[in-house]
Amino acid sequence: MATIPLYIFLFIFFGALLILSIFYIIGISHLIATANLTFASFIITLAVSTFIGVSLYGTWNILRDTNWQRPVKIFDMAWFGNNNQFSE
Amino acid sequence: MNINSFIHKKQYEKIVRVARRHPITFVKIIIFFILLLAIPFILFRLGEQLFPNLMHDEHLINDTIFFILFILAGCAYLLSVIIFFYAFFIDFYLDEMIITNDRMVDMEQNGLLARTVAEADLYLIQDVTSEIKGLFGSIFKYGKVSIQTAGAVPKFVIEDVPDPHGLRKLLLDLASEDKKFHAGQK
Repeated sequence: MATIPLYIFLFIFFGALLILSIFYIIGISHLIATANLTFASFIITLAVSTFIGVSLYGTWNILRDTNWQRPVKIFDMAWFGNNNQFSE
Repeated sequence: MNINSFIHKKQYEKIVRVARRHPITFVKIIIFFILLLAIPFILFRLGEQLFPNLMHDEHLINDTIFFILFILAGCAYLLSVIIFFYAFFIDFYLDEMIITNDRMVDMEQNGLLARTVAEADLYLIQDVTSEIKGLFGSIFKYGKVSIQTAGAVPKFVIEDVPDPHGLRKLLLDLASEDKKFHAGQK
């Protein structure tokens, strides 16, 4: 049986967040570099930022009591062994 | 940075128009991304209908790794969709043509990591074509303007621009003025 701690998935999530935040920063830097800081671009940037904030807050709110140290079974030979519940 | 320093505006130059794509052409992208954002919620509702016992199992909802991973994956999915929406917006919004009384600067954003900027003096314009096509184009009066020049970049094209016929006329008028100015200088 192989197990990993749950926080590994949290680190993977943070890795994805890092990549997405790079794209977000590139987008904003394009708007600044090309002098396109207009009302329309401001509204879209505000809407996107609000959505990101609400999503992250909601996720933190749901998962704040999680014990990230608990082990997660990622492989178990028993999964491929005899399973009596189907033979009855 | 402002638009004057972006195009290195000369002292005698005046910005006449900044032509972008018509906002209505972005609506289909907004609808597409709203549908993408709705997928996790639709799946959740569908799960409630198909597996009511499973979805309302207190133990499953509060205590399982499956639920924690579902929330993390759901959040990552929603953030990916919204960031890709932002990238589409940048691609849409940064396709623009800045027209001054001396030249035109055409900027084309290709995705998030590639951009082409080309410019040509107005007196080099040889031919301008405007085109309105399709039902939405006819209703909202947007279309394509193609500009043929004698410069290093032979053809400039701006798609989905509002009032393409008006823009064509404006470009031809400005080109005519610029040609007179350059002829007077010789």
